[in-house]
Amino acid sequence: MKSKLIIAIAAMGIAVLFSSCAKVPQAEIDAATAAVQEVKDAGADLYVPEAYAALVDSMKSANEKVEVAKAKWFPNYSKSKELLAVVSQMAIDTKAKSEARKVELKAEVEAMIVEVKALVEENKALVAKAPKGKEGRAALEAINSDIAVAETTVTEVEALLANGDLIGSNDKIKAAKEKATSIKAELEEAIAKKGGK
Amino acid sequence: MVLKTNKKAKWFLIVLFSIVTIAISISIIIVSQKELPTEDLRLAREALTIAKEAEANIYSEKIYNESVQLYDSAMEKWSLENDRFILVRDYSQIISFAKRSKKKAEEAREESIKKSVNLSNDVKAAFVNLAKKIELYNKLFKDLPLSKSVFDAHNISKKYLSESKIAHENGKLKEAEILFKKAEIYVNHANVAAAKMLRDYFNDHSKWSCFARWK
Repeated sequence: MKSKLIIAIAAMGIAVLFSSCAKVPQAEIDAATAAVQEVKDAGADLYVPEAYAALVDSMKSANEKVEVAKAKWFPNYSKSKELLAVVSQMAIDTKAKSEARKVELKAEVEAMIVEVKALVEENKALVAKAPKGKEGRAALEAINSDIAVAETTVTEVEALLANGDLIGSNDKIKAAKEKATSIKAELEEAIAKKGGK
Repeated sequence: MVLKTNKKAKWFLIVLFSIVTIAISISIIIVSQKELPTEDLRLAREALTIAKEAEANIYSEKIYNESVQLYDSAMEKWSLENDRFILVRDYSQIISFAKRSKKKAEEAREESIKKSVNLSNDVKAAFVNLAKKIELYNKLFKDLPLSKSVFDAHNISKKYLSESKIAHENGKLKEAEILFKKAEIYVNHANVAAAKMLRDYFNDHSKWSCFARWK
């Protein structure tokens, strides 16, 4: 009877000892944190902000889960580990999405550069055909300077693109395209008026 | 004699076991009575996410950062508390940090919404004002023999205005404001320089007329 009781107490003690010795999944936490940082460094917060925000939120949630487990008498980190694995996988996916968006954005900007260059050339050709009366000359000078600004913008955008500033280059080229398109419309209208007279 | 010793040992073990059981029960009761900060931290985290969606990190940066700091402090403190012996852990400060973080995040969100609406209206009003200045240039100075720098300043201002409008359309209000301010600097420079040239011309008009008559 005595020996059975001693064995029972000892078994309980060992069980308590082992279960309270469950280690915090530090390696998994570090890996997930590094993965999230890597995703940020890849510019995901700029190119895929929603996906990046979801990733950061999941990481915070995983950290909370770890602390919840840690707060218990007998910590069990299996759920935290699962969540941390999900976060690591999410980080890989987000990085891939960010890279894909970058490629897409770069292609968009490059296509717009080509379009703006073509518009600039078209506008130059239209300027040659435009009416050159007393008022027309001043208007053409203004248009020529606008065309020059569009050309400068293209050069700026190419430099930004070379430096990897895809968002900045996208905004600038959009503005240049808008301007070049409006110049073209203005010139075509003036030429049409001249033709009508 | 042996029987008496066995009986004593048996009683000793029973008492010891009872003490251990009572101690464990009391500890479990104490621990279960303690309120964990889990729910408060979850609410704070969610409030932060909502605030960020409202771009509070841009339009209400100070309050948003305070909220983030409070959340981070709560998490750090929780980790420290969890390293202490379970019966002496105190989560009250963590709960307080989490509650304050949530409150700040909500404040940041509200301020951000207000500021972005105001900024959007300001930028829209500024577009009208700037368009008037550009129109003034086109009306009064465009046909004058202006220097290249004035001409360029006017064109650059139009470029920035156009970029600012695109940023505004995309909801990038801060960026729109920065670009608009750049546009304003250039258009002011162009208009002031052109007006000065015109003023100088008329100030010297009598001299020119005199020279013309003399010739």
